[in-house]
Amino acid sequence: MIERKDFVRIGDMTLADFFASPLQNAYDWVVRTTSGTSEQGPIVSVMNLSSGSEERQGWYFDAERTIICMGAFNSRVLSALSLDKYGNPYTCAILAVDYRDLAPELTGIISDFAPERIIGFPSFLARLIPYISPEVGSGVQKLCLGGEMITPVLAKLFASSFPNASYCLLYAAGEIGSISETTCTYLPLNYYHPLRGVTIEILDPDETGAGDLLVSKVLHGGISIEKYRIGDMARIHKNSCPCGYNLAFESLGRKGHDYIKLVGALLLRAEFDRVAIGMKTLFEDYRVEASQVLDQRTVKGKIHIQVFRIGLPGTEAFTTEIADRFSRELFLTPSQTLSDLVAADVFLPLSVEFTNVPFEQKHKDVKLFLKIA
Amino acid sequence: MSQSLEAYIERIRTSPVSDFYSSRWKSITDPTLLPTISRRDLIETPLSLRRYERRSGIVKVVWDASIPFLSEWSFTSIAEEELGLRAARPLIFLSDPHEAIEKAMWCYQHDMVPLVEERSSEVTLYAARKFRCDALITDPSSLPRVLPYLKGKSDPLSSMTIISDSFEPEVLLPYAHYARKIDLVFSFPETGALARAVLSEDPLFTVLPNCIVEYLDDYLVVTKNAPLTTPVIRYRTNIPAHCLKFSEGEGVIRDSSNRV
Repeated sequence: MIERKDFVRIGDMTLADFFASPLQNAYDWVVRTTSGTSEQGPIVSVMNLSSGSEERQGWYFDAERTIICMGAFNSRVLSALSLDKYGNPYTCAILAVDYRDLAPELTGIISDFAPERIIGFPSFLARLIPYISPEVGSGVQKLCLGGEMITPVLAKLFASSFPNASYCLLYAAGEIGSISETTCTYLPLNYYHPLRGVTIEILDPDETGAGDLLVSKVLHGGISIEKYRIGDMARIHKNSCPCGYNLAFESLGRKGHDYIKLVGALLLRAEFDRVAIGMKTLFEDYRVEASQVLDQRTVKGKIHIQVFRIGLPGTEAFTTEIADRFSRELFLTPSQTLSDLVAADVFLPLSVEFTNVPFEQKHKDVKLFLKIA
Repeated sequence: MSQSLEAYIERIRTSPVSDFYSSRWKSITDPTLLPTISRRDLIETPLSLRRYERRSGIVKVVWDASIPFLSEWSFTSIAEEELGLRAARPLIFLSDPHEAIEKAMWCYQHDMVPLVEERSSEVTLYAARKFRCDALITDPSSLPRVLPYLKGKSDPLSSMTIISDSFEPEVLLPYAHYARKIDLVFSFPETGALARAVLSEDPLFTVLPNCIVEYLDDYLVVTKNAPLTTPVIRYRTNIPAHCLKFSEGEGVIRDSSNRV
């Protein structure tokens, strides 16, 4: 089984393959960089686009005015290359929105651009929606999304913001590329058919069949990965599908042991531990429940912390103190605390609750949970 | 003024898809007397009314202080930009995220596989070392952030291209020994590259082919004789004429009242 930390070595292999191969067509190669959100460092790899591109065509074929909403620049480049290759040669115009563009003035800009297609990550699109007028939103025909779960909150937001758009969804990972076919119209949201040639398995399934998703595929140049633990939870379904492909998997989101990505912020277990240690006289243990909430047309983050305290019950004063300290000291971005993000209306104020009942300790000490609501 | 430019201007004047220029030119037929336009005109006119060509390409958000406007560039026009860089694995390190994507496409069209800066400079420079970047496309404000990578290299880069609408040679010269060749490219996001100079204490810019730089009322006015999606014809910049030194030759008009 390959873990994410092993992927540094695989990334190096793809680099070596790139250096050794004569460059016949630059368009066939894209450098991918992942930020390394868990304890692992960044992964640098080179993706070969000359094979296995069919599944991407659903996103790009005959595209016209297209907004790309992806955080990573290498993802924007990959999309731009694909749109150049497969988009409409006369009317394909690509606008790659950046986080720095998110300002009230962007609304007029997007109206001027009048997109018919949006390609990107659900969380980024959710942040873009406040700048898309209902009139412009009704003109969007296709939402090509991937990389994250579409939660019920997001599905509701997208349905109301883009009433005439159909979904074209893809399950992929930055370091290994596509894992699924693009949308089968018979499948529910967050269900995918595996890409032909990709093998999926579930590690340690629970009683519902949910467990770690393992992926095996050939990357390029003969470099293959076997049983790569991608970090997502999933469930396999072997039912007959009207499309004819009788195998599907249901994405259940990130495992949440080490980190949770939420509304553009990063909730790190280590960061919560760091702040909690400073309050060890106030409580003995804690659990974090994170979720998305829809506030009018804006998706916001919500964090609820349960703290376990032996003996005396927690008073409102203690609850307030714990909430204040977590809010002030917990960094959810490299430069912003939870307080900063609450002030910026990205997160709701933190809620804290005491319990005198010890948390159940399983063999996996999980403290961060993402509530899918 | 060359015949091809006259023909291009006439094509713009009679274009059935946009009257952005013809509405301003009105009955003026002398190309040397056409009114200038500025960023204000681009801000006040939607892109859909300034578009003269229909070809696939990139649309950029250009921020003029806190006011944005759109500039559209076809892939064909992007490929024709003269940035002067020739490398295998350039690193694109630009403060403008839209320029970064456009320059990445330029690299691909010139058979180069680029690495584009991500939000974390630390991660980007780590990747640059792994990918063995051999050249750099950057701007003056980004250079200090690239310095750790430049210092860590045992050999200088093959080339460095610094893109901006203004340059302070005394600030840039300390970087001179990090690349065998350093070009300064005078450019705006909405005009593309206009002139190029080798970095020195007193850079002398050469106007690029199909570009015209005029000195008009102490400011630089630029024109591109190229079929751009959003054409650039007598575009008044905010750059005082004395800020950049141009070599004599084709493309430079020092006295706009006395043209060829």
